[in-house]
Amino acid sequence: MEIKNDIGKGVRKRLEDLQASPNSSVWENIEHDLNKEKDDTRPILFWWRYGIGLLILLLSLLGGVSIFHKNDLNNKPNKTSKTNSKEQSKSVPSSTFSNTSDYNIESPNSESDTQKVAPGSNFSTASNNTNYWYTQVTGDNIKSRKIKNPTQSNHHLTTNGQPSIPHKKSTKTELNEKNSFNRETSKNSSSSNDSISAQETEELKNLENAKDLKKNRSSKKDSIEKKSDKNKWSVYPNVALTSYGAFGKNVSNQTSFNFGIYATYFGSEKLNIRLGLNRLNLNQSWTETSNHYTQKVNYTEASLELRYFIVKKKLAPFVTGGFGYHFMNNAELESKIGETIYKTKNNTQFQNSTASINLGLGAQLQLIPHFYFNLEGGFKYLFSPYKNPEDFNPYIITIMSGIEYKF
Amino acid sequence: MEDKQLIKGCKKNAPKYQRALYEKYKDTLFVLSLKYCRNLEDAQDNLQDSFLEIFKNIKKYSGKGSFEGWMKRITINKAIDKYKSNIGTLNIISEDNYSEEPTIAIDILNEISLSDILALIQDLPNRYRLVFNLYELDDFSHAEIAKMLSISIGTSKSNLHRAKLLLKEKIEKLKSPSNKLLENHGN
Repeated sequence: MEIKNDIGKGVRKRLEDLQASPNSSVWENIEHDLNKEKDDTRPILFWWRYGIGLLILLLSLLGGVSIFHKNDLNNKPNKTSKTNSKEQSKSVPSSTFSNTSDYNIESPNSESDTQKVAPGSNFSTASNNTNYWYTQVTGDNIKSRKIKNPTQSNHHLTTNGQPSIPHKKSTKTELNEKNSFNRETSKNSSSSNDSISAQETEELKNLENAKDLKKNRSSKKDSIEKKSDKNKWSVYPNVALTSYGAFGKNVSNQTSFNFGIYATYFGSEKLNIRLGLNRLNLNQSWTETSNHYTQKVNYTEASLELRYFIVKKKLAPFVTGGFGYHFMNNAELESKIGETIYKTKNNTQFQNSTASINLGLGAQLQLIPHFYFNLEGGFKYLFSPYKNPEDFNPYIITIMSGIEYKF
Repeated sequence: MEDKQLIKGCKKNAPKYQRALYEKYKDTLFVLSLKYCRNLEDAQDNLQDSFLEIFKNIKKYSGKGSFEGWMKRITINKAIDKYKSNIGTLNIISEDNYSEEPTIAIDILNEISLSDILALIQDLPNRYRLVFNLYELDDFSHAEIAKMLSISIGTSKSNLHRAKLLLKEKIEKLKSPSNKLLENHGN
């Protein structure tokens, strides 16, 4: 008896055994088209990976330079002009130094100053301080003279025998007073008129010297504190506890100790740029189909980073950001299959070099002048470290510490 | 290599993984293309276009559902795109006329070589071949076929019926000594 079947089901059943392979030219054409597409998109991919990175770096540097420049404009020229104007306005017309500060030059128009030296007035009534310290500058030497006789001082401080108006006392008058005082001390009163101009010149010179001295003193005062701030460079050898992790893969045994060195340029107190050279011995292990693998890779990293101090105190927190370029030195894959361990060179699996983006957060503590203790944590994401894409993307987490020497 | 690994590699446009994926599925998708296309050349073109489409859209593959099914759907869609424009609207015959499905003796079908059966399908007009393949070989419903081919459900049913009739007729001719199909297609 003839068994009949639905033609659709019958054909389907027969075609289940159909096997066929395409011509090899099919893959060649596919490959050709894929390469063509890649060539078209390659510039975009390049810029995506490296172009944007370079752009950020460029912007960071420009920003840094801008801040440095701004800082220079704000600090250096203003400091100079402030000092000059202050000294010019205060010190040149007056040589009267207060006793509270040996080098604090008071304004000639100040009421207190005028009262102190007003002719006809008694020193004891002009001020509670009966003893005034005047500074006579001769060459580089500074001598202080104490006026012990107010009456005598009063006499010599009056130039024309007329009481001078305190508020309108001229520089010349004041200088004459001082000249008189100097003449008195040198017992050379006969040639007072001829010596006025010479004395004035000398006095001005003395005042200038006094200014310089004051400047030096004041700068010395802060020198210890500020000297280190004026130092623009530092070196920072460091040791780091490194964890070599991976997104998308459960890894273990990933910590190692590494070391490196940074050279830092202090563009400003808060913003620095640093170049680093770090040696990274990385390892990570994972288990796959009951086999245990350990990947070891050794990199030399050259990094360029910006460091920004959030607050500049003795304990100063900071953030870092930048890029690293990792040169692969060696790679090894250790496979434990059963009880046997196989070690194989794995250099071909890795790119010879790869870039990373580096981010960090840390704090700096000044120990003694020039020496700082740093503790910082960092994160590095590696861009395409493998020649062929893998299921996971490795990253590096570091806890780094060391002593930074500023010079 | 597992599909998951292949997919991840292909998502990164890695040539190694693209090649591996091609090698793994080329035969399956080629056979599928052979059924839907009119000849070997068209099938190879379809396979090529399909893989390019797969590599291009693999990032959109969410991982839900069968990956092979997803690739097959792309391959079928490519074939449909190729022949869709040639699908005309046929006069719809009433369901009464094709309520009785065409049948064929199993022995006759078994005596025909696979290549001949394939050739018979390929020789079907586009509108019949696509519906026959979609319904009988790949389990799409008439509603789905109607949507895919932009035809009515009635047209889909009608085309399927006509496809089966034509196939039966061709197979019977093939079995006769004077058939010419064997001469045309060979083994």
